[in-house]
This record gives sequence, structure tokens and C-alpha cells, in this order.
Amino acid sequence: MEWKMDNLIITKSLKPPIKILRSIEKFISICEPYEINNNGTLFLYFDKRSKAYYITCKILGNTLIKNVDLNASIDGDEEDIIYKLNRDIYQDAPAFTLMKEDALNGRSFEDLVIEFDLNYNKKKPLKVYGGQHRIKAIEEACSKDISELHGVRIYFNLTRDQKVEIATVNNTTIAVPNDLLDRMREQQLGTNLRDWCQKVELLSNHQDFSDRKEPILPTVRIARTLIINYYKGLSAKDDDFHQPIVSKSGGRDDEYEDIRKIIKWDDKNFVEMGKNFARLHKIQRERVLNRKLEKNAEYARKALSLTVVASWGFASGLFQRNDTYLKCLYKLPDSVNDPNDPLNAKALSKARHKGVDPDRYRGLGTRTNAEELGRMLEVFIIYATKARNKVINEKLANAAIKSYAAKKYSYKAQKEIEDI
Amino acid sequence: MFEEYLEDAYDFYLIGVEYYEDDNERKARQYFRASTFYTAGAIEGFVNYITDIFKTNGSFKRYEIAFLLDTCIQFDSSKFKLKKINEFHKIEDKVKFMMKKFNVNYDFKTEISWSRFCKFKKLRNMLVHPNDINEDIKIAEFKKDIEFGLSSIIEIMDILTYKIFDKHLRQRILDFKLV
Repeated sequence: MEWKMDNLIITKSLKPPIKILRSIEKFISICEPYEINNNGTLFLYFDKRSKAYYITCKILGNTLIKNVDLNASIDGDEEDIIYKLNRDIYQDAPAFTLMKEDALNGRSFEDLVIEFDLNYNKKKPLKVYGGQHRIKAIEEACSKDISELHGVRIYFNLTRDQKVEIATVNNTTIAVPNDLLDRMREQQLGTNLRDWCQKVELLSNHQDFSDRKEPILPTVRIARTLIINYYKGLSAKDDDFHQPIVSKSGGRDDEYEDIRKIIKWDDKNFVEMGKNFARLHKIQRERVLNRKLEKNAEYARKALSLTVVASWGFASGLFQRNDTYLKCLYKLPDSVNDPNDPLNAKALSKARHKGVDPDRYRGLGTRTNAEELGRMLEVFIIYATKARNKVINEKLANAAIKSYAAKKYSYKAQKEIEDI
Repeated sequence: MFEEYLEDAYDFYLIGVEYYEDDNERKARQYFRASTFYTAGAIEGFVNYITDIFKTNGSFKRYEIAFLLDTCIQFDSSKFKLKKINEFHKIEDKVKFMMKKFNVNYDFKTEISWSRFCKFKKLRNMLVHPNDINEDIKIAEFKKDIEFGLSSIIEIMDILTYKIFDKHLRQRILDFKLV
């Protein structure tokens, strides 16, 4: 491959030092940019803010990975770990998982921010300042012989301050809320979920899901959680150990997407479930906000707490085979009169497992771990099946906590026997 | 209820210690007695709480529930049916039963918490069924027996709680241990 100065276009306003040009020459010989290999040209640019020279070009994945150093630091001292410029790779982040899949499917990533620096770790002169997750994804793809072209921005001969400034800018992100990502993903899957929510009046006509937690509108995650658990309840056996779950957020939810394929959106029972949930939310909200005392915003929103959504949805699915219990569950909004709220959020907040729940425990329906989901489901089960007085109160909530503890122990004991 | 009793036992003990350190033996004994009663009540309350959790889910047999709730199932030959009669059972027997029922790895012969609990139980019995001989309990020994008694009861509760619920007693309760 021939390197000609003619292939680097330097506009008249720029007067790069010779060391910059020499660095560019070395970069070209090591990394073989696609443009140069195909008789194209590169432009030299100057970032006025950082006062740094850079070029942009495309490099093959294999070449990139061979030369890249993800542990770029300010001073070039490999032991100086406090000055590592990049954040750690979050292997479990849903977005990273998607990135890796995209890389395997031939995605070309862009704007990987790199400095070409031979001053330390000469074998890996491409010091990464922005895009380490993308590069990790590229690395995994290359290990499976998938080597695509990727867009890089290469800086040369940066001072210490320039390194810090560029690294800072490239590791500052305005986080996209997970609820917005969920909504975008749901749009990709189709309009069924939104249409169904509009039909059951969880959303108004022409209204979309909320892109963040808010008091009136559900997010995509809330709607998915309701549906996943309805179907889980539907297929659960009466004597199973019932465990509601919460839908994932910020990435793909495989369980939801599998269920989505089999949903009959017009199914009468499914629509009725949605309408009754919407009604519960509406009345819960109205009762709390219209009363004079204890107009607590969290109480008003209680029906939309993920724990309540998951457990109510599960109960509704479970009770499809028993009309009496189902009707009882659906009549919960009518179980109390003004100014009382049907979920009795205050009573739920006071319930606790004596001796065990910590002082800072905020009561039922506030957390989304497995134990809380199981306890909240037990509230609805006891309410619908056993309670003589059909009202959620502190006594019922405490009974639900005890009942769940007993079931969990029995399940654990049974599993231990089965393992023998 | 058992949590409140433990807290009461602890608070009364502390007040008793203040009087003890002021050489006011009469008042010290008064509060130490109260502390003893609440400690004894706490372990009873705890056993009842565990029984209440499991009595309806099929984990306990009917006669086991009867045992824990101080009843006994008898056959009434005159009416040809089973009946429940009151029959009090020792708290230490109930605790032993629970340890066995929930497969707790606990050696009653060697565990120091058990020997201290049994010694505390004797103290409690002496106070509940007083006679003149009881007044010979030295105040320093009284104090020590409460310390070991309350602490051993909390330890036993914690062992059971952890085995049954996979969780320890909450920290505030564990902080009531005096030794």
C-alpha cells in the first residue's frame, strides 16, 4: 500500500506540527484505513475546543481489535489505576447484550473515539476514550470471524489535559430512560399492546404509554407486567408455589415477547381483566385524591406499583378457573366507600413480618423482589378466597405475609426432599 | 407482641441496672422482676407467632398444633368424638419441638444458649411461684441471670428465624442481647 501525502488533505487554515503528520503516517501504516486502501483521501480536522488534531476514517474490525487498548490512561502508567479514563464494561447491561448481537449480525459502529499513541503499550497504540462497549462487541464478533468496517475518530499527540477533556466528553451521556426504550421497543413489535390498553381504558384514545414513572399513565413495563403475570396465573396449578414477576426494562424481555406471540388480544376474559385493572387504578386514584385527609401521591398511584400490578395480574389469571374468586377480585374497587381507598395503601404500608422485616421496611407493594411479589399476591388470594370481611386491612395484610412465609417454607422443604 | 416484650424486657433491665448501681436493691429487684416476666413472655409470644404462621398450611399435624397451643385432643367416649381440653406444656418442650420440626442443627446437651435458657426458666418459675427461699437470690446473680437469659432467648429465636425464614431477626432485636 502506498502512502502519499496527497492522500491527506490539510486545509490552508490548519498548520499542524510535523509530529502530528508523522503520527498520522505511522497510524496509516499500522491500521490501513479503508479510504487509503481504496485510493481515497483523509481530511485532517481540528477541534477548536480541545485544540486537538484528528482524522475520521473506517478500519476493519480485525485490525481495530489487534491494535486497541481499552485501558487508556492519562499518564501512560499502567499501574496508575485511578487514572483509567474509561468506565468499566457492564457485561450484564441489556443494551450491551443487544450491541453484541448487532455486531454478530454485521453492524458497523461509528464514532469510536481513539488516540493514536505509541508512547506506552506500543503493541496497542489505539487508546480508546469513547466506545469501549462497542469495541468489546466488535471483539466478540471478530472472534467469530465477523470483521466489518467501523468508523473511528483518531486523535494525535494529545496533551494530558486534552486526554482528560476528550475522555470526559465521551463518557458523558444523557441517559435515555428505560421506559422510553421500552416504548420504542414496543413500537417495533407492533401496536397491539397500546391498542389493547386503549381498549381497556388504561390509556385514552390516541394516547401512548408514559416514558417515565408517573401517577396516571402506565408505562410499557407496567402493561407488560400485567400481561405476563395474567398468563403465568392462567397456566399455574392451584397447589403450585406461585411467584409473580416483574417485566424487564431497558432491553428485550424474552418472556414477554414469547407470550406476546400467543396472546389473543380480543379474548373476552383478557379484555375483561384489563378493564377491571383499569377500573381499580381509576378508583384508587380518585378516592385518595378526592379525600380531605391522607392525600398521599404514592397511595393514589398504588395500583400502578409494579408489585401490585404483577400480583393482581397473576391473581386474575389464577382465578379464571373459579368464577366466585374472580368476581370477588374484580369487585375490590367496590369493597369500601368514600373516602377509603380499595387497596388500603396505608394498611399495606404498616404490614410487616414481625421480628424479621427491618425497621426501614416500608410495607407491602413498595419493593419488587420475589418475596414482596409473593406477599402481595397472597393479599389478593386471601382477600378473594378466605377473608370473611371482604376488605383489605392491616390484619389481612399481616395474615398474607404469614401465609406467604409458610408457603415459602413448605416449598423449600419440598424442594429439598425432591433433591434427595 | 414478642418484639415489644423483648424491648420492654431490655428497657426494664436497664432501669434495674441504674438502681443496682445506686445500691437501691429494692427498686433494682422490682425492675429485674419485670424484665424477667417480659423475657419469659417474649419466648412464649414467639412460639405462638410461629405456630400461627404454620397452623393452617398443613406443615403441622393437628396434635402438634394442639401441643403448641396448650391443648390436648382427647377421645370423649361418652359422645364418641374428639374434644380439645386445656393442657399446659412447658415452653422449653415447645422450643425443643420446633427445633426438631424445622430440622435445626442444635445440640441441646452442648449449646450454651440452651443451658442458659433453662437456668433462666428456673429463675422465672421461682418468681412466678414465690416462696421465702426465693428472696435469697443475690442481686448480682439476678442481674447476670437476666443478662444470660434474655440473650440466650434472642439467640434461640434467631436460630429458629434463620432456619425457617432464611433471615435473621431484625438488627434492632439482636441489639437487645446483653452478652
